[in-house]
Amino acid sequence: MAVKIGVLIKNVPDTNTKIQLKGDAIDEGDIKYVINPYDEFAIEEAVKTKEAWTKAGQTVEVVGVCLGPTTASKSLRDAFAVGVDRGVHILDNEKKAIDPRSVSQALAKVCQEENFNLIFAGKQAVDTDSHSVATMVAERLKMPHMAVISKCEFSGTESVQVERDIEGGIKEVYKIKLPALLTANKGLNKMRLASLPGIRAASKKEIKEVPLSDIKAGYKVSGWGLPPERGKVKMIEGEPPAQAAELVKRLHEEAKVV
Amino acid sequence: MKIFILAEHKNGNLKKATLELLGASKGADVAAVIFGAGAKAAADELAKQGVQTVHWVKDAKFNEYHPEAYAKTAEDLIKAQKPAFVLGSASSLGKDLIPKLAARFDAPVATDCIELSLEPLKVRKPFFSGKAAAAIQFESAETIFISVRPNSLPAGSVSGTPGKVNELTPSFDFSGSPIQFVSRTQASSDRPDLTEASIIVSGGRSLKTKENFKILFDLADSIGAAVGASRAAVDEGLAGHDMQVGQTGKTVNPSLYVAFGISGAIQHLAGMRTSKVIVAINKDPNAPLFQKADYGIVGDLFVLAPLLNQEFKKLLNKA
Repeated sequence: MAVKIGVLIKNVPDTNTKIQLKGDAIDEGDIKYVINPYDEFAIEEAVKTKEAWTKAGQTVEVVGVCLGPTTASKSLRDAFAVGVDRGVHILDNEKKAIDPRSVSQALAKVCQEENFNLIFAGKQAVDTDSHSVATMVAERLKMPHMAVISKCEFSGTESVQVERDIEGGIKEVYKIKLPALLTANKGLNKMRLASLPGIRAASKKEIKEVPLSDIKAGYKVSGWGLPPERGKVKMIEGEPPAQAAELVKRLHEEAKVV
Repeated sequence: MKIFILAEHKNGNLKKATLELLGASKGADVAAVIFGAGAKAAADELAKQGVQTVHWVKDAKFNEYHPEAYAKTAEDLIKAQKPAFVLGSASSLGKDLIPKLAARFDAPVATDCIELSLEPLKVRKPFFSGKAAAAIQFESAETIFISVRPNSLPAGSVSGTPGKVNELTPSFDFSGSPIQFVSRTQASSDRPDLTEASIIVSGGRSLKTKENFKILFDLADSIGAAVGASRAAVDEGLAGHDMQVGQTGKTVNPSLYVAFGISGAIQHLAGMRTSKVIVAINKDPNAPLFQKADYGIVGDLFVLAPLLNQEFKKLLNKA
């Protein structure tokens, strides 16, 4: 029986994007979209796991699952080029699913139908920064999860030992029976570059478009704001010892932060 | 109004981030849960700060985080209390448990919020690592789940009337769970965590070697600060991934952020721009970070870091 690995993939603004407002909304004009950086680690780990399991005699399929407007399918194509086999795209051109409650519902429905043995996701998307959706998908599937992992070692297709990064540079080690959902942190791996044959094969791989199911939103955004600009920088001149003394004095007396 | 708080301690001491949640719950009917055999002092502190019922899970099996065991315990308490809000910090624990519980209750959830007042309800959450923030309007629900970024709210107490500590022994079948805790790689250090620190000193690629970061650690230890690094420094192996500040690293929110030799790429700014005061120290007078800083020094970080260490020590000895 084939083993199925799912990867949750989100198309997000490149981290070098400057975010600007247009009226009451985010100005989409100059935004360049890319695969969410943490999802790259998830994709690479899924493909690596497929390679290892295939070598051990299993038949393995890696399926990318993505929610977003028509243009978001680009991230699935990019994932195909590095080894993901096919994709499911939950189409949401009206951007109805924007909060963790609704997005996790829609993704969980597809994952339920696909009946994955293992799911990888990035620990968070760098646009909404909720750090929630993958964990909530696991919960909805009643599947154990482990978040923010920087190392994983499988014992066959039965179980996996993972290192989870927590505050202060500490790592917790857990052993988890599959099926399970794991969310990737930076440090897990580095996504391989697409090969030319990989890129060629990507255009032929299947993307199944599915409509957004009935979802319940948790919240909506009722207004955007940009962070306030700071006052003009105060440059501290002089010789280094005087500069150091002056800076500490200002931080203590003027800014009152030490 | 009823509120349930996911409280946290570090080495037995109640975290400041939890006190920030108490401040936001002022005057409400508050229950809290805190996990671990070592949490007695923290549980007592919660009661003293006016949390009416403090559920202290004393069983040592709960010393280490276990998503299923913690979620089941909190779920049962929430079901019994029926709070309007469940609050946690956007810490390693809160980031995992708050959304998990929200899904279990199929409830609205907003995480890592930077503004929170409960009556009337006003919540703001950053997006794009703080390049923008949005006012959140929740759908109506019996219970709403919210996590708050540490250092965003003033610490406070719920009321002057002390509550009581309820020692709780949840039944959870650890050996039958598909998740088994194995070990942790090191004990919790006394250095503050980047995401909760009130002062951060941070270094860029100009530190050149991993060993050179020692001057920043020395400075940090003098003033009780955490040490961060830019993506460039991390990518070149000068600092660990857990030290990276920026859009693909940690988002930090200290009172003071001192950047040594960090030019100020957009993705780095995104991770530290909510710092109350930013100091940029760079030998390149055109470094973009000077445009985003409150104070700037054009100079050699290898000269300035030890000098600043001396000056801070002088100040702290005076106090």
